[in-house]
Amino acid sequence: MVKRFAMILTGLIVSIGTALAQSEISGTVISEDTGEPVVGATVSVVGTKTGGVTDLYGQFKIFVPEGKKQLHVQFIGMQPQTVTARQGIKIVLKNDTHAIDEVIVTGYGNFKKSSFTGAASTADLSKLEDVPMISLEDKLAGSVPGLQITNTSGAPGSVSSVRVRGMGSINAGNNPLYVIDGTPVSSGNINAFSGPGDGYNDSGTSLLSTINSNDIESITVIKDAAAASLYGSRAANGVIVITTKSGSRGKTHVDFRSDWGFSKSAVNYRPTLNGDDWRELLYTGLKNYGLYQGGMSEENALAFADRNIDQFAAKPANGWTNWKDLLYQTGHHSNYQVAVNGGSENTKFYSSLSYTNQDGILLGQGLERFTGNANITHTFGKFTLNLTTQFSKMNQRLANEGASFDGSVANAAWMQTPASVAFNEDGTLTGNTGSALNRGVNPLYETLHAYDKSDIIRTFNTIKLSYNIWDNLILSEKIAYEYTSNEEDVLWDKYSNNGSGFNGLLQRQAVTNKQLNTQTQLSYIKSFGKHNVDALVGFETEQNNSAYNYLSGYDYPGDLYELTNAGTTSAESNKEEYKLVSLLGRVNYNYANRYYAGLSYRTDGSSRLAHDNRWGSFWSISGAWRFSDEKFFEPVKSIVTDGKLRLSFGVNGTQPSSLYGYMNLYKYGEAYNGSSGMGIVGIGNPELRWEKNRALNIGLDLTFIDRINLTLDYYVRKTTDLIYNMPVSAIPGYYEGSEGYVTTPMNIGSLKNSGIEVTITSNNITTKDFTWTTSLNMAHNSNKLSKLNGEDNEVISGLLIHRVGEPYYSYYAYEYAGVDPATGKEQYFINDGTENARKTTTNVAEANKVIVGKHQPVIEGGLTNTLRYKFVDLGFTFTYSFGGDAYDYATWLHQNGGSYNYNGAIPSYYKLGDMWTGPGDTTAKLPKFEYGSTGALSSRWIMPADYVRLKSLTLGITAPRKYTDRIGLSKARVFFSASNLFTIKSKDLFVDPEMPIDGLCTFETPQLKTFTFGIELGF
Amino acid sequence: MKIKRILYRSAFVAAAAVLTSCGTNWLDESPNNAVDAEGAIKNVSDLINARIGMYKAFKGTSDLTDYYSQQMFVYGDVHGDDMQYNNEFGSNRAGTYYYMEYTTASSFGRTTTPWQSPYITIGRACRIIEAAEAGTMTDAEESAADIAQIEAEAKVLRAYCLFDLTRIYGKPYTMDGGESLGASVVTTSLESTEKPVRSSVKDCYTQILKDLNDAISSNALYEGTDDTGYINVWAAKALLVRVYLTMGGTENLNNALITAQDIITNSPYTLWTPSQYATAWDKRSAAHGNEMIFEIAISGTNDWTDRNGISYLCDPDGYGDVIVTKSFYDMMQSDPQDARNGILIEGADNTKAKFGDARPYINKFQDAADTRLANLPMLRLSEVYLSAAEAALALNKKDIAVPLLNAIISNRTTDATKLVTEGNITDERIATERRKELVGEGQRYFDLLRRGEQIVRYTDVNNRGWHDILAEDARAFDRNSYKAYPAIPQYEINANKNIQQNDGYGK
Repeated sequence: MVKRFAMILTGLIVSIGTALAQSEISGTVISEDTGEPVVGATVSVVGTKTGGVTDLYGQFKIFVPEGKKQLHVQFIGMQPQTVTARQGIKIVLKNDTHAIDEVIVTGYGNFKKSSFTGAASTADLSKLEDVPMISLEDKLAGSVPGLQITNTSGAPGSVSSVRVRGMGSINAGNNPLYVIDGTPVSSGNINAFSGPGDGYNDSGTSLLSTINSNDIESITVIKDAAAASLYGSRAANGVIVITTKSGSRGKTHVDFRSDWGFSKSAVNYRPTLNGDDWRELLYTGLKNYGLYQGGMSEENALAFADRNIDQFAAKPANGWTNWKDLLYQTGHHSNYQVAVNGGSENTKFYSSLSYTNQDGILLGQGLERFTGNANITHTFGKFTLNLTTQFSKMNQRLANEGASFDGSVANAAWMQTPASVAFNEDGTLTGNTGSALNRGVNPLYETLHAYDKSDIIRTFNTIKLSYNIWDNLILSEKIAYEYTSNEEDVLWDKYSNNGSGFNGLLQRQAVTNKQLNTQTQLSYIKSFGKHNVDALVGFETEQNNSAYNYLSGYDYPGDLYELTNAGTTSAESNKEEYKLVSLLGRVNYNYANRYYAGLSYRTDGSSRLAHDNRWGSFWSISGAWRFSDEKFFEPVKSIVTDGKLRLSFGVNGTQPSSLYGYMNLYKYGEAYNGSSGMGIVGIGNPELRWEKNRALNIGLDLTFIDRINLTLDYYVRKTTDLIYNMPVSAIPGYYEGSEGYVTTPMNIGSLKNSGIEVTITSNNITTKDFTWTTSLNMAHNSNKLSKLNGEDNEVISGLLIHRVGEPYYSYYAYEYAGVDPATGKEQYFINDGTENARKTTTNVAEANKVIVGKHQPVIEGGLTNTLRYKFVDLGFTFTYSFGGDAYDYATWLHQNGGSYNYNGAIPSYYKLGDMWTGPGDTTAKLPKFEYGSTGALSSRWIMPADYVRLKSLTLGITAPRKYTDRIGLSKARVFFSASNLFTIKSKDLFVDPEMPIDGLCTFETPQLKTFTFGIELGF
Repeated sequence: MKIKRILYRSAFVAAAAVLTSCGTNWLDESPNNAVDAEGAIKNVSDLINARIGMYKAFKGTSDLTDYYSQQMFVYGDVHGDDMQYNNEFGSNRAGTYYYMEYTTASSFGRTTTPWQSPYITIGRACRIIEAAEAGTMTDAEESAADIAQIEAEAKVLRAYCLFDLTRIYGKPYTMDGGESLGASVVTTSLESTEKPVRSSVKDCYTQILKDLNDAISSNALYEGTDDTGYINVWAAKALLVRVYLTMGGTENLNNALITAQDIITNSPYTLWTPSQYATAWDKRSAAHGNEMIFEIAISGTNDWTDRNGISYLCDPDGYGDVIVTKSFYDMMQSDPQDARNGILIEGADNTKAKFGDARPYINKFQDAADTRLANLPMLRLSEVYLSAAEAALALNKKDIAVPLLNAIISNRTTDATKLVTEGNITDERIATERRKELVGEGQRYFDLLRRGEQIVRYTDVNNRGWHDILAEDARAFDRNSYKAYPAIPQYEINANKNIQQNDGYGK
């Protein structure tokens, strides 16, 4: 990013240059640090508007008018120099020991971090180009404090949840707004059939995974109101501003990179007991049933167990089956990318093509993606025209991950047992494994006879024309059109378990999403002496159309599955639209880069609200003070070289996620007996209002001895008029969606997030041969439901409770009190609020639920080190999280010997040796395992979510320039990279620490541990 | 220069003002699959649409499985003693009330506990009744008969749902005269935010009887028998018989008998003959309509409940979750001439190891093309006969009871020695015929509760028939066990602080 900024400046200067040649001087600019030429350094003649830029070999030619002798040379990241001009001059630039000033891209203007009044962080993705992560969000992990990224699934292309400074909303959506090169874009799930946690797969399809992250220059995460309020009604959850690569003036560069590697599961996900231990446990459970429920003697109980054990755990002729080995695979991946960029004085371009192919770690999972990208800027007269186009075609292959009969994760962890068999005696796959939990469905067999494929096409095209009206007054008009389609086919052929009843079934859903954005902006940037003014007004519209066509056909005569061959077909479709109109304005002022003030205002009109509640106003004020420039600071300035205090406050909002949530609707398509009728479904809420988010940010930036940067932010975010799909009584008879959840959207209360973020960046060593930079970030967020309207002070939803004064994701369950020595059953604290509260009971109905845990961590963040020694570079990032809880929500496994245990695999934490052995056993760690037992949602199933993970690692070797030059290469590098190489976590956390957003874990594809080898060539 | 600047600015502001005012109307959007509820029922054709929607709610969907689409049948049979969960070959959709492993309200979810769908049906019925009574439809006068008919149907379905909820959540009326808590009585369309309380079982029955008697006495219900997918006057009366019999006591049994005799005498329905019985369940069968008073009609993939439907759960080639118990099977086998053996069918080859040559699956949800398209029997003439016989005997009218029961026996078995006389007719004999006749139709468990009988799945753990090993409190229990009644589901407790929980499940 930094580089590009320099180039643009250069271009402006050069274009003014004229050919009043008196004498032409040529020379070379080289770096003191590397001894290599500096490409793109600006050389200008002091006192004139004449200038030039160094080429690929660091050389420049410049016309020096009569009487002028001084040349000024500058390059970002290096100390500028003024030298006396002479022919053949060699100018050596020294590195600027000041840390390079980050550029904050807000989409409504770019700011140097040193002059920014708000809170934002920029992630430089170039360091992660080697790491083959499909997900853009994943690449951000660990680099931005206060940014929490969670994955429901490790499947390639799956949907991630991103939270900026905790959750500010509930149902209106918590994902931040994504902005690419200034235009808001669609994000989230584009899977036709399902979203995370339901449907035919649980991973979904992330729209952002269509983007080739190597086309991205940088990502700025806007966290406070100062800059975000300009995005108004969509900015309450933060804004992620993506800047894509663009061309630079100079020789045309061709960069080629390719890598290959493989992936495995990053953790030992839900380990299960091996066959012998499993059988022994079940045997003991049958014996215990005889002893404690059947009233049998020891001898009779053993006889009973002997007689019945083979119903559940008969050892197959070929030995126990290890389903995990069969259902998890080693995924292979490969990437190829070529990028070309360059430009002349008036025209600059960047273009790239890429191909990615990555398998998942579950059978049937994978992703293949082609992307093309072009960005052209042309300047003519007072006009600048910018055209961008991004095209992606992605084929995603999905596997079922939930608790369905053929779901690989659930089969490996639960539904298949060591006694169920995958193969017939002749080695062919069996159609009936003998498992009782899923009617013998063999997931291996099913993958041969079923698929779930998404074919996604996305194009994003923008055209922007800027007109420099006068002075620095610029009018620009931008039109952006985004088109995404996903055609997803789910086939169950006639031999599959799902499809046999249909004689083959193909379902096809074609989803399209079209978004048209227009942006009109008038901006003015000017300095008057020490007064610097930057103002902008704008008018914007957004129109989004989505539609789906669902087709299904069954009863196929042969093995060709297209609907034209089907005996019976049916169809369904619908279209939806929403719109947004906005007016906005902003003024920033600073005096001598010491005192800063900013003001912004935006009004949005949304089609998602009733006529009277349609318009909302959003604003912010902000200021900053560079106290290090004050006189009183002089004494410490040698240590604290720079210091700035920032303050911002503002309001932004969130629209309801439902497009027509304010209306009471009689829905059609309520079919009975061959007729379509209508029925009241949900009750709308005409009073539905904008959700408002007030954010205060206080920040401090300090630089010590020009080497260590410290950024400290404290914030309070308060969301009022919180929109929530409130659980309501089923008795009035209303529900939401086809699945029938008994909720209705309401503005119900307030949510407060407050926290501290710290980033420390240190340039440990900066010498010619060795550089080492360390960056540590830490974030603490405290989330609290601060108010609920109406008579209730809590909302309970499954295991979660949302109670005033408590974090949003609090777990509400019985409090486990260990093993009852007399009966060996689970005990629970009564918790009835009386003196009996700490007494225990084995009858869960006598106990009361309390808050037993919370998902919110105390601290999380990342640690990044970047090292370079001569031609070797090394970079690695750790991510960590401490102090949060997760919950094992696979309640089927919690029965201590219930029917779900007896018919399935059993987690390896059921250790027979730790179990209660008989009445009076006071040392038992685990309750008795007994046939017919039940489980309960208790604190026993809380898991510590603490972890440290080596998220990414890259080791590269670059061939020295003197060798590559000879064969015409400007760069040649080989690298090894890895993601999720190791994870340190509690052994009680038997799932991946990157888990669903609420910490409730059932069966999800764990994250991938990936190893990659690659090369990079530049021409 | 100065003028130019002002000009630009003012032009921009003016443009913005125009755009903003246009913007508000530009922002109007409406859905393509629904209409504003305000004034949605303008005329009788809208009311007909709402009627379809009401029956759809009663039928359920593959997502809303808590009522007659699935769990109501499972509850009525698998909670009892004549049917069981098919533990080795089923899909886990019928295990809840078989294993009875539930301990708290959290064990009762949206998909396993009949609660939400009956109330959706009641809510839709209430809106129909209100729209009909408001008299504001544009064709209120010329379509008065149609409007009155739909209103009466709505009252019957409202009663149907409340009756089911009451006998699920409340203790049997025959146990305590209706003192315990039943369900919430809803007679008007409610706001979504309301948090109703439960009424006593007695008050529930008062409302059920009121709705049924109002609907019948309105004389607006259809009297023809050609449209079995909708409530007609005989369906209302057959349901009334079921309600009276469930309430018990001399007066109610008398009413049950009188109403049943009205149907038997005055309706055009006749009992299926032994030769018709095994195949009459298919809606394509010529004899189908002879005995079928009301059924849930399913016509295609748009209105089926797919694999989650009860018919698929019973289908040995479907999920095969539900089978008869071995003791019931043996009872049926004791009379090989009984035509009702014809609805018992065998399972797939992989089940033979367990069942041998036995035929444990039931085939009452028949459709030649696809079981999922089978209609679901709800009210049949034979139940009316059996109820009448039971009521008559209880009222000591053996002379009435004997011909009623013999009508059933003679139409089911060709073995004439099975016929009863006034000398040998017993209550138990009537109950046995009822078990054989109504198996798989979701009635057995309610009969057990109503009659206060012990529910015994097996007596010897080492000789369990086809049963899985059961926890002791599920192996044998009666209506005094708290597990005989489900908890009010946790999701309702969470959203409705006013609702009272059943005993035994904590707060």
